[in-house]
Amino acid sequence: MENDETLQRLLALKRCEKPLPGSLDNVVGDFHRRLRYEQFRREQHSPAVLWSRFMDALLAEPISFLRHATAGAAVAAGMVLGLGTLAIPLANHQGQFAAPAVAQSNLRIDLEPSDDAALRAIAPADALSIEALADPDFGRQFAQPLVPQPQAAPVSFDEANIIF
Amino acid sequence: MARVQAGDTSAFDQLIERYKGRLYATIYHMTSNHEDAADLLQETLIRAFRAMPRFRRDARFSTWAHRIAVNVTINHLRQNKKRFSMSLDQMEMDPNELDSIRELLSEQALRPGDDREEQIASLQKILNEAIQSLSENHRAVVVMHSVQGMTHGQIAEILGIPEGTVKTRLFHAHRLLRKKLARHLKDF
Repeated sequence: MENDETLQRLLALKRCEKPLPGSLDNVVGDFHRRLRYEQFRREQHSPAVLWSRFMDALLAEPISFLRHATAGAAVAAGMVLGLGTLAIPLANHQGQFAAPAVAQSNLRIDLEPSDDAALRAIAPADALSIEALADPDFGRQFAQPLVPQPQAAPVSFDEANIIF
Repeated sequence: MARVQAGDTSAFDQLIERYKGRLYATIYHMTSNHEDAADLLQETLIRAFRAMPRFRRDARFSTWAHRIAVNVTINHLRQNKKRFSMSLDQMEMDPNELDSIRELLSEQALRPGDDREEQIASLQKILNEAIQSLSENHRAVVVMHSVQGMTHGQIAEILGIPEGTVKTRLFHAHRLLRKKLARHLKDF
């Protein structure tokens, strides 16, 4: 109990601590300054102010403003047209890019994960050892030759089952 | 109060003049730093002014403003846990209190050769370090009760917690302070 009283007396001594001389003299002035600053900052980012700035720029220097706006629109239109021009040939000639490479190959290179299981089914267990897997020619003996069809249509990327 | 709620800043100025001292003291005793206290007092006033339209007059303005001040200070302390600096040599104390200090502090804390200024700085350092070692919630309760002399009921209203919680926090905070100050104080 006595200990608690001693502690209370000691803590009560902190009441004697005073603010720095003059530090509370201009609290009201500082408050108004800060209030004005916060209001100013808030107003600067309001939609009404941004719209007003846009209109000011348009009305104050219409020629300069229109020149910049036209240049910006031209750049944007150029980019849209450029991208469109590149995209059309790709869409029309998609099959022609794939046909020669696939048609001349005599190996069926299939990267589908499902074939890994098929390969394991036909390969002896020892053929799948770590040493065998390290061999760069591993798997070549299991590759099936592609029998070309006499009048086969060109094979597209999708039909060749090549996954990128 | 109606004028303030209508946005009259000059009416709010009167409230500032009336309560700035107590609000500053609460914030200062929680932070132990005069610069932080001045800045947090301004933040408290701005928030209070903005929140005035939502102030219900069933509570006292001083209680409501203290609640804002304590919340602002606790947020500040939590955000700046690693950055802590005390303001030293800024204590102005009644010379008559010096005997009380000598009575309370042990020889470890006060050496016979030290002059008054050094003894006061020593006391301030010991006390503030002990208070700053408490958690924000314990610190708020100790400052409001033991330093500023508020009642449990007032503190409960300011913090928005039951009186029992205030008493429990105070009990734990005093126990921690006794432990921290045991080396420096007599009769512990």
